[in-house]
This record gives sequence, C-alpha cells and structure tokens, in this order.
Amino acid sequence: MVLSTDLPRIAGPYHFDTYVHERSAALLRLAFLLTGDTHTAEDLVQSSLVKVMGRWDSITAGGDPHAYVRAVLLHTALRWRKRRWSGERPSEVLPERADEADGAGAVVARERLRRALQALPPRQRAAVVLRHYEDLTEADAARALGCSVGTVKSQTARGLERLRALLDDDNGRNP
Amino acid sequence: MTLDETTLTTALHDLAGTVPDNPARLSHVHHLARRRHRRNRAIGAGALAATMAAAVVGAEALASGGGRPAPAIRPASGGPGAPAPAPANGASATAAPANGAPAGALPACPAAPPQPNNRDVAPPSIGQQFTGGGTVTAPGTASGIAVHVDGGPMLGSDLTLTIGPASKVFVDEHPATGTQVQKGERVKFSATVVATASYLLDELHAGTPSAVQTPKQGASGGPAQPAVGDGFKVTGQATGLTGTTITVDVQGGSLPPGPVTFTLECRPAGSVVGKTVSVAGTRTGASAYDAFAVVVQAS
Repeated sequence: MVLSTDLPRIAGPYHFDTYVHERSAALLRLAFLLTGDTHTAEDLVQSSLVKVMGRWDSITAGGDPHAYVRAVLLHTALRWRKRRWSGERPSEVLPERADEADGAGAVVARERLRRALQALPPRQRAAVVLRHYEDLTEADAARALGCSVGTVKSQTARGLERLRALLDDDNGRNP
Repeated sequence: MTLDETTLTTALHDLAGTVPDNPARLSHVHHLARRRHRRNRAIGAGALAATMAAAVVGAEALASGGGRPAPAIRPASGGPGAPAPAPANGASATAAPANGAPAGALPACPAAPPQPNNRDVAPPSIGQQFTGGGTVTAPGTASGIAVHVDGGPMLGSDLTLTIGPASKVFVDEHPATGTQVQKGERVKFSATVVATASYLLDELHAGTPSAVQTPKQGASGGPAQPAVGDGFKVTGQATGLTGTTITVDVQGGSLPPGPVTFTLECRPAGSVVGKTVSVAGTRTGASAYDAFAVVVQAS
C-alpha cells in the first residue's frame, strides 16, 4: 500500500511555488491595506494561497493567475471581516513614534492613514484600495469584487469622501 | 494630511511598503495544505466507504435481478445461480472472499477502508472519542453547535456538540468561537461521548466548501474535476495494473474521460485488467489520485 502524505508540487505553465516567490509579497501589501494588521494580512495571504493551490492548473490555464488569486484574497478578507475582525480597537492615541531618522511626520501620517482606512466599511475600503493602490480600472475592480461598475464608482466615491473627513478630523485633533 | 488622488496613491504605496515580507511563507502554505489534505482524507474516508458500499449493494441487486449466474466468488453453499445471503463471519470461511466483502460483490481490496458501511459501525460508547463530518443545522452558539452528521460512526445522526472550556473551534483554519459557525457550513469534528446523547466537542473545523467559484474548465468541456482533497468516483476500463498503481481508461464519472493512473490504497483481488471497473478515492494533487476502492463491474 502506498500512503502519500505529501501533496505533490503543482505543475503548470506558471508553477505555484514560483508564483508565491514572485507575487505573494504584493498580495501581502494588498492584504495589509485591507486588514490594517501585519499578522492578519499574512494569515489572509496564506489562507488565500492554500485555497487556490488545489486548483492551480485550471487557474493558470486561463492565463496570469494573479487577478484570480487577488479576487480570492478580497473575498476571503470580506468574509473574514464580517466574522472576526469586528473587534477592532481604534486607539485615541497614536502609537509611539518611530526613530527620528525615518521622519516622525511620515510615520505619523502613515499611521493616520492606516487608521482612517480601517475606519471605512470593508467594501468601501476594498474599492478605494483597488482603484487607488492596485490602480485597477472601474471594470477590473468590479470584476474583482464581483459587483457592478456603478457599485464600484459609488463605493469609491463614498470611501474617498469618508477618508477625507476622517483625515481632516485627525488633522484637527493632532495637528 | 490632506487628500487628493495623487497623494492618496502615493500614501497607500508608502503605507503598504512598510510591511515586512515573510520568507517562510511558501513552506507555511505547503504545511497548511498538507494539514487540510490529511484532515479531509481522514474524515472523507468514512463517507466514501458508505458511498462505495451503496454502489456495491446496488450492483449486486442489479446482478441478481437480471437472473445472471452468481459470480464465481459466491459461496458454493448458495446453490448454482441462486442469490445467496452474505456469509456470516466465520461461516463458509473458505468460500467467502478473503476480505469479508459481500457475496456477489466484485473483488474488493484486502486493505479497503475498515468499514464497508458506516451504519455497521457501533456508535461510540460513553467516554469514547469519535470523529465525524456533517452540516451545521442551526447557527452556532457559545455553548454548542448542532450538526447533521453524514460521515463517521454517528452517520445520519443529528448531534448537538457541547462546547467546553477545552473545546477548539476553527473557521477557515482560524481560531473562532461557536457563535461564528453558521448554519449550512460544512464541519469536521472530533468529540467525546460524555453521557447518553451528550457529546463534548474536542475540536471542530468549519468552512464553506465553495466560498470561491472554481474557474471554468478549459476547452476540453469535460466535467469539473474535484478539488484536491475531495473524493471522486469514476468508471472505465482497466488497462494496466502494477503493485502500486492501476491505470483506467476513464469513461464516466467525476473525472474527464481518458487514461488516468491511480495510486492504489488497496489491492484489487483477482485480475482486473481489461475489465470495466469503478474506482473511488481522493484527488491528492493536480494529477494525482488515491484509489480506496476498485470494484469490477458485472459485465
């Protein structure tokens, strides 16, 4: 009897391992913007990769798998968000500043943006990130999110408006 | 920070660029996949065995209904051509198939899954731990999760698994609470019988089977393959047999038509090459399949 305990490495035009080496850092950055937390982002990326791993051949048969993997990550993030990331604890006080060499202003600005992003509803955040970080067209963002172009437009507009308001508020309190 | 679209794009890239990469990600992903695969196999084996048993019983009923003579492996005591009941354990030991497969059934693997039918398995006794798989029948609560069991020794039961202080609940591989388990989700679990009809949950894994759609198949138009870790059942003509593999020219079932080589998890009794066989098992990789049961179909 042969008992295989290891999954064979996935073969295909674009090897799964190669994809992870080359593109998973980009997925991690996207996941970080969606979750606001490094460890959760890493979990999200790994879970998404495990989900696509078993279907890698059919995914790569359609061409570049990145759009598909990104869509899996987005949907996983939105689903997780509903279930377990509802307990965020926004802090009134900014975390300790990083070393001055980094530029304290830049560190503070990044942290304000991270908090403001996390304050957006998940779909608005995803729309803003896809349009302004991933630089997707409205049609591509709609495809990734599984919604209409009109929804992407409205979610992005509302997200930007809310983000603006949050950052303005933050500026008022922490000039 | 004021916001226009250019500064937002720059700021988002700046923020995202602060995340440190994880060089061990690939090995973690493979580790997670292996763990999920092992769990699926362990739990899926019970349901698969039940499916195969049903198929065997169906084939047997068809064969006896058609008035065909009994296959050679039928015990001689049944008389020529007469359908005979399966021999009781210990009776007609020399005539019965070595692995105790039902009489008239096609040669079964000596090392087949331990139970041909989960319903034959005695339910666990008090104090005994058992595993199972099933579907959540009501939204989970902090104190318990209601499950309709469709795999394992409690097959067909509706159980409420009590969540204790040591119980572990995972949703999509992440620690969770009972309230995060939703109605309709697939679960796999281990639990301990603490009293009559009282089950203390040890560990439960929940998740929606198809949260993300599988992309469409290519131009071949064949059936969508089961995901890695999922079961399959096919029929076709056996074209080759080695000590560890069987090659079947698949003609129907859940895999695309054409020759497929399966890794044998059991050894079919007798000669199967050239015969029409049913093979059931688990997909373990892109083009790797483990066969847990190989049954020769009546010609």
